[in-house]
Amino acid sequence: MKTTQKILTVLITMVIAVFFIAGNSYSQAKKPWNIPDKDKNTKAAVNVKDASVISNGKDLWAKHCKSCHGSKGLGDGPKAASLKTNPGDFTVAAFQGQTDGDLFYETSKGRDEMPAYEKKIPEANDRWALVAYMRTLKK
Amino acid sequence: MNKNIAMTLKKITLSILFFFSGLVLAFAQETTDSVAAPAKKPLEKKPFESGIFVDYQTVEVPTAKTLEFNLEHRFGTIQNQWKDIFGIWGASNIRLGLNFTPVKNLMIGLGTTKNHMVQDLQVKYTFLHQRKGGAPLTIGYYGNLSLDASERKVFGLDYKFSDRFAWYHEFMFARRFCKMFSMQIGLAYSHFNKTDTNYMNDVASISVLGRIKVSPQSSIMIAFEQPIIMNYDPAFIVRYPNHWMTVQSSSQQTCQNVSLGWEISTSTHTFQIFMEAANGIVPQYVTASNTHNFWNGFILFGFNITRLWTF
Repeated sequence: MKTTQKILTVLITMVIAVFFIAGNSYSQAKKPWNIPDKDKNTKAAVNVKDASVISNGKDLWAKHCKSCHGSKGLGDGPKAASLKTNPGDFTVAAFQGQTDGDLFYETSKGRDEMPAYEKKIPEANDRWALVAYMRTLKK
Repeated sequence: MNKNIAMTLKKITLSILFFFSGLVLAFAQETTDSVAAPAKKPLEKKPFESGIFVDYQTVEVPTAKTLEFNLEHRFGTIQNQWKDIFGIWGASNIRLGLNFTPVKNLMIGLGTTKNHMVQDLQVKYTFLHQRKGGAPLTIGYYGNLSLDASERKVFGLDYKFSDRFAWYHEFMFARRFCKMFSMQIGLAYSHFNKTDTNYMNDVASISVLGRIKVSPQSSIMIAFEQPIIMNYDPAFIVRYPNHWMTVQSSSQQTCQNVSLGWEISTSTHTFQIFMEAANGIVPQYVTASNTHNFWNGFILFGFNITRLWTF
């Protein structure tokens, strides 16, 4: 009986642990961004449809973003598998439905494993160029 | 009398360098501090991805509060061919360096190098940035103070601690001509407190760096440095009054350095792999002590790895 109780205790503890870890991973993937309203409503400082701006954004994507988010924004970059957070699919409506200000804020401020690119890319127009390129990833 | 001539020439040369730096600073002030200045012209994109370019410094300084680690490795020359796999297993030189950017445009750093056990301190400041429709160049200053930590016997019988020191100053002038091509010219001066017999303590140089960007992350790198040996020895000046400054493709003391390489740059890393002649790594040792003549086939392979942490 005592041995059986011990085995059951260990098994139940393991099952709880698995659900806890899985639950945390799930919650990290779904955690919403808390973006201030003024940033949500910020208009792009560049013409996001300008070819030269998109070209600049594409170059910056290749250097800074591709390794996690993938070449086409599918979240399948070589580093993605080692991240705790799912980089996400940037081609879907749920992502593209955000405002330009949302994308600019998320790129600039980052969180957790996502770096704050306002330090690595200090020029705001360059980060707007990244937003312009992200819009071209839409399916 | 002859000693006076030598000292006077040295003072004149140093005065010219400092006067020139003052002019450049004045130009920088003029460009950035106008009364009732209109909105600043937008910055041009940076001409180089990294602060190091083979053996040379570029005008590039990481953003403020960035820590940078440099790993610089030079293999042996290819002279022994397959015996040491073209220098891979030959006599190598390595430098480990750590730099920090405490404030915008200012970088300070330190490093340690295998050959001569060189310990160095360095500082770099970029005081003018190329702007679209504005300043045509990015201009920076780089300084390096090194200490040769070899055994005392290396320095001879009349040893003084100050014999171990050498320093290096450089002004760099860079321009991003277009998305594909950037170039930098460097004017440098190196001084060794003590050198071997027949070697001059002072060597100036002109360097030219060229970067050809072939993709968002990859570039071809080309570099050339011409040393200019400054002969301040009074006896030499008396014998050769018109040759106190000599430009040669090679001499017993130092040869031109030629480099050709490939650079790959990511958000946090820069990788450079190249072939060149000099193996000194620390700038004053590259300028004043490169005894490998590239044009006679004394070539070696090397690589640099840079890693950035932004705080």
